[in-house]
Amino acid sequence: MIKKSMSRRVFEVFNIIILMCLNIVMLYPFLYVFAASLSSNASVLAGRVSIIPDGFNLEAYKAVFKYKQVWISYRNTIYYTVLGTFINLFLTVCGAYPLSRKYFYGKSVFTFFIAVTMFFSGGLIPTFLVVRKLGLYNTVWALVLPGAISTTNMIIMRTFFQGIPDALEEAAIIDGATDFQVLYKIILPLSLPSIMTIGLFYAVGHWNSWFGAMIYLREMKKYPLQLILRQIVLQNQVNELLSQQAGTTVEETQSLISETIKFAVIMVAVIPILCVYPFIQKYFVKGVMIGSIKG
Amino acid sequence: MKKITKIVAVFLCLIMAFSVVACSKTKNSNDSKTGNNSNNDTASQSERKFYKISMYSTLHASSSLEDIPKEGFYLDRLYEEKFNVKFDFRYVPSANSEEVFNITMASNDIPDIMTGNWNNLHKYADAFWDLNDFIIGKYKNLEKYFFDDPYVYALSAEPNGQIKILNMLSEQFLGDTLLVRGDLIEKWGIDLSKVKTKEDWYEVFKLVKEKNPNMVPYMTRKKTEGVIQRLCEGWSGIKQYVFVDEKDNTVKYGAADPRMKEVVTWLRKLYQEGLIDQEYPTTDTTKWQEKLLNDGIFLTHDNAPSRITWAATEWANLGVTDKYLIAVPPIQPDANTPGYTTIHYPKLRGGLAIYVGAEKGKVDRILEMCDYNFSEEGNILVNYGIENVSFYYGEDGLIYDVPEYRQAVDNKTMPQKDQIKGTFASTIRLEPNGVYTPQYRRYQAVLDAAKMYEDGGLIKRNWVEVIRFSNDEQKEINELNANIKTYTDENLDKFIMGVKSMDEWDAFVEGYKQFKLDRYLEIYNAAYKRAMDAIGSYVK
Amino acid sequence: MPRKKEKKNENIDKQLANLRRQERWRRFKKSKYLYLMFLPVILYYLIFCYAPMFGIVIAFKDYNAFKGFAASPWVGFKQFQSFFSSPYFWRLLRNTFLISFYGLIFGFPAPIILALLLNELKDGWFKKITQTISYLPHFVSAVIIVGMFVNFLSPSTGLINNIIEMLGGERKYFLNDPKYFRSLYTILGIWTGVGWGSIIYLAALTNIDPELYEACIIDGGGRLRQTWHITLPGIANTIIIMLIMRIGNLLSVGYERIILMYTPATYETADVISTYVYRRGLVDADYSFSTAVGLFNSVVGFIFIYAANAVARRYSETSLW
Repeated sequence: MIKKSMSRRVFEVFNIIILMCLNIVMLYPFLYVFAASLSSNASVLAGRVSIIPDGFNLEAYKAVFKYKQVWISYRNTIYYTVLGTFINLFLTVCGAYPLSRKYFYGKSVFTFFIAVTMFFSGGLIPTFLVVRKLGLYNTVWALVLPGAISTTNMIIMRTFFQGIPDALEEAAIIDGATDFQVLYKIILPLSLPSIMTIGLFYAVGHWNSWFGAMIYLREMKKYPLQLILRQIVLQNQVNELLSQQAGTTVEETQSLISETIKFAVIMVAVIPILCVYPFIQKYFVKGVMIGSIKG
Repeated sequence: MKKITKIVAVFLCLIMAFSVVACSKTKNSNDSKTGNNSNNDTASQSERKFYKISMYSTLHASSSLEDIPKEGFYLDRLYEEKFNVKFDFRYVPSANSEEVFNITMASNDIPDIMTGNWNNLHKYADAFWDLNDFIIGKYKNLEKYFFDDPYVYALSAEPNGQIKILNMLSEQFLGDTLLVRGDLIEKWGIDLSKVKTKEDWYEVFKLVKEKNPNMVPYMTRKKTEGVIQRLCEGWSGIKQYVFVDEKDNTVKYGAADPRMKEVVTWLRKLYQEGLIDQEYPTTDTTKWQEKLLNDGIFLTHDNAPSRITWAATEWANLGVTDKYLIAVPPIQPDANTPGYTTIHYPKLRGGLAIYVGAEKGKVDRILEMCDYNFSEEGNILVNYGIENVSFYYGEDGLIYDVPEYRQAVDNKTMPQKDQIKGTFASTIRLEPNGVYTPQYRRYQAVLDAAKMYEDGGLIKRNWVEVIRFSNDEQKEINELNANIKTYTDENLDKFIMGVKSMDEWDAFVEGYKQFKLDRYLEIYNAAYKRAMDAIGSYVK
Repeated sequence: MPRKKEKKNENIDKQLANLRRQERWRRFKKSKYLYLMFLPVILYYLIFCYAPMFGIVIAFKDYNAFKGFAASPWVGFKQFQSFFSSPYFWRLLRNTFLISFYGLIFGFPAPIILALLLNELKDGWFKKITQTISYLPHFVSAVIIVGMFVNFLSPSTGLINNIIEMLGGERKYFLNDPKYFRSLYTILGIWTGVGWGSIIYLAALTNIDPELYEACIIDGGGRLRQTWHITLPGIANTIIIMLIMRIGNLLSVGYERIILMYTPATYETADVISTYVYRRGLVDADYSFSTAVGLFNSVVGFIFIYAANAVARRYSETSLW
C-alpha cells in the first residue's frame, strides 16, 4: 500500500515538473510577442526585448486602435465567426448523426464519397467560379458556405456519436422516441464536450481565416481582422521571397510599419480567443455527462 | 462489394461528363469576352465623354492601417474632374496578391485597368489592348518614354512588337551598392583609395576582425545572392545564374562558368576565417537590422539611398549620431579596371494594362491620363504634389519638402504625403531619381554614392531582362530552371561553407549535363540573339 | 432424388434473397427521417466539392490563362512526365514521405501523451492554466514562431548552442545541416501542435464512464493498469480514426513552414514536393503543373487511406467507411 502511494506520488511530482517545463516552452513565444508590442520600436529592432518590454510604451496599441479599419474588421470577424460556427455545427451534426446510425441505409457509400472529397478537389479557380455563379461573390456567404463542413471534423463527430453506448439509445426508443428526439434528448447532451470541441475548431478556423476573405470580398469594410494582420506581418517576408527570384531585385518601398505595430496587431487578434477557452473548459470535466444522463 | 463498384463507376462517369459540359460552358463565356468594340466608337470626340473606369489596385501594408477617405484620394479626385471620368477602384491586399490576380483574370469580371508586375500581366497578354496605334503620333510623352529608347521599348514590348503593358519607369540609377562604416574607416586608419582588389579587401577584413572580434566584416541580408553577387560580381564579371558575358556577348550560366571556381575559392577562404557572416543562409532582414544597429557589421550592401536614410534615422533613435554608412565602389578585378554592378535600367516596377473589354474611347481616355502623368506638369504633381502646399522651390532651384507633408502622420507608420496622393497616379509615372528627391538629398552620403556609381560608369545594364520567350520556350525554360536552380543553390552553399571539398568542383560542373544546362543555354542564346537583332534594327 | 435436392436448394436460395431484400427495405424505411436530415449535407458536397472538381482536368491540359479551362489544349500526361522526369523526383518523394513519417511516429503520439498527462492532474487552476498555455503556440503566426526557433538554433547567439557549449560540447549550425532538418522540423511541429492536438483527445476522455475506473480500483488496479485497460481502449476509436486520416495525409507536407526553415544546403532532406512546386511557381506560376502534382499527391494519399482503412476494418471495430 505504502509503496504504491509512493510511486504514485513520485509520478505526480514528475508529471507536474514535465508540464511546468512544457508551460515555459509554450509560453515563451507568446510572452515575447506581448513584450515586444509594449516596447519601443528602436528596442525591438536592436534586439533588446526578450520577455520583458524595453522602453515601455503603448504607442503601438494606440496606433492600431486609432484606425477605424481595425475596429471594423474586428466587428466583421466576430460576425463571421459566430455565423460561420453556427452553420458549421448545424451541418456537421446533420451529417455526423445519420452516419453514426448503424441502420442508415447507404452509410458506407456516403462515407466513401465524402472521404473522396478530402483528397480530390478542383482547386482554387474552379471553386471560385462556382461561388461566383451562385452569386455569392462579395457576400458573407462566400466566406461561410464553401468550407461549411470540414470532413475531418464531421468524421470525428461521427466517431464521438458512435461511442455513446447503444443501451441508452435503445432505452429511449422503447420509450417511443423518434429519431429526432433521440438526437435531441440523448445524443446531443451526451456529446456536448465533443460538440464544444468541434465548435471550437470551427470558430478558431473562422477567426484565423483570411484567404477566403482575400479572394471573395471586394470592399475593405468587409475585411476580417486576420487579413489586415497578415498584410502587416508579411510585408517583409513577401519582399524577401520575391527578391530571391533570379534576376529581379524588388526595391522595397519604405517599409516602415514599425515592428511593434506588427506585434500589437497579433496580440489584438489572439486575446479574444484565449478568453473564450475557459468557458469551454468546464465541459471537459470527465464523465460528467454520462453520469448525469444515466441518473 | 460489386454494387459499390457499380455505383462508383457510374459516379465517376457522371463527374467526367459534368467536367466536359462545364468546360464547354466556360468556353462560350470566354468567347463573349473578346467581343468587338467597334460599335462603341464615339463619333463626337470633341466633347469629353464621361467614362466610368474600373481599376485593380493593390493596397500596401501601411494602407491597412490607413483610413482611405470616403471620397477617394486627392489626386484621384483631381483627375476625375480634369478628365471627366469616375474611378471605381478594386483594392486588393498586396500579400498573396498573385492568387487574387489569377482569380480576377479567370472570372468574367475583369476591370478596365489591371495592374501588376510585367510578368503577371504578360501571362494574360491576350486579354489586353495593343497600344502602339493608340500612342504613336498621339500621346507625345508616352511615345517619348516608351518608344524612343530601344532598350526601354524592348523591355516593355510583347513578342509581337506591340506594347500592351505600360510600366512605371524610373530614372533611378543608383541601386545596390556596397556600404561601409565610415566612422571606423577613419578610426582605424584605412585608406580607401588603396583598397581596390579582393586581396586588399581581404586584408581589410582581417584588420576588422582583429580590432573588433564581435564585428562581422561582411554581412548581407540577401543570403547567397548577397554573398556571391554583391561581393564578387564586380571583380569576377559573373553572376550566380544566367547573365550576359560582355566579352563574347553570349548568355552564360555563372555557376558552371570557370570563373566561378575562383569566386567560390575566395569566399570559402573568407568563410573559414570568419570574415563573412557564418550564418548567412539563415540571416534575414530582422537579424541583419539588429546586427547593424548594434555595431555588428562593417561592410554590407543595400539600396544606398533608402538604407543610408534608414540607418541614420534608427541610429539617431538609439541615441547614436556619429556612425554612418558610406558607399564604396564594387570590388575591382585589378588595380586599374573598375569593378561594376548590374541593376535594372530603367527599373521596371510594375504597371498597368488595359482590358480588351474596355471600349476604344476609354482606352484613349486612360492613355490621356497616363500621358499627363509623364508630362512635366503631371510629373511634378504625382511625384511631389502641389507647389507651396507640399513642396516649394528653393533658391537653388531644387525642390524641397514642406516639412509637415514629409513627416509621418504619427511617426509610426509610413510617411504620407497626406492628401496629395492618388491610386491611379502612383501606378504609372516617371519616378524621379531617388537620389535627388528632397528626402534623400539631405544626406551627403547618398549624393556621394550616386556620383561615384553613376558618373563613374560602374552601373551596367542587365541585358538578360530584354529576353523574351515564346510560350513553348518559356515552358521548357521553367521546367529546366526548376531543377538547375535547385542544383546550383544547393551546391554553391556547400562549397562556400566548406561542407564539400573543392576537389569535387569539377564533378559538380560536370553534373550540369544531366540537368540539360546546354539545352537551357541554347534556348537562352537563341532568344537573346533575337532580342538583340530586334533592338539593333529597331525603327519606331 | 438429386433433382429434389436441387429444388430444395433453389428454394432456400430464393428465400434467403427475399429475406435480404426485405431487410434492406426495412433499413431503408427506418432511415427515411435520417435522409431528410442528411439532405443539406449532400447538397453541400455536391455543390461545393464535386462541382468544382472539373478543375482537375487542367492537370491534363496546358493551361492558358486567358483561354480558360475549355480552350486550353490537351496534353495528356505531359505535366506528369515533366514532374516524374525531374532528376529530383525520387528525392522529393522520399523527403516528403520521411518527414511525414517522422511526424507520424513522433508527432502523432505526442498530443495523446499530453492528454493523458493532463488527465492525471487533479482538477484545479494548474490544470486549467496548463491546458490554456499548451495551445498558445497554435495562435502565434508561423512566421514568428519559426523566426524564434531559428534564433534559438543560431550558432552564434542561440540558446541551444549556448547550453551545448556550457555542457562542454561544440557549437553547431544545426539549420544548415541536412542531417538535422527532419528532427528539427518534427520538433517544431510538436511545439506548435501538441497543445491544440490534445484537445480532441481530452474531449474523447470525457466519454469514458467513471464507473469503469471505480470498478478497476476495486479490483486493485493501479494507475498504469487503469490507463492500459480503460483509458486507452476508451479513446481507441478516436485514435484510430485520427491515425487513418493522418496516414491519408502522408504526402501533404505544407510548404510554408519548410520555406521559412530550410536553406539550400539542406535541400537533400528538406526539399519536399510542395516546396519544389512552390519554387517553380515563383518565376512563372504554372497552374497545370501544380494541379498535376496535386493530383498525384491526392491519388497516392487516397491509396494510402484506402489501405489504412482496410487494415482498420479487418483488425478493429472502427474504420472510416
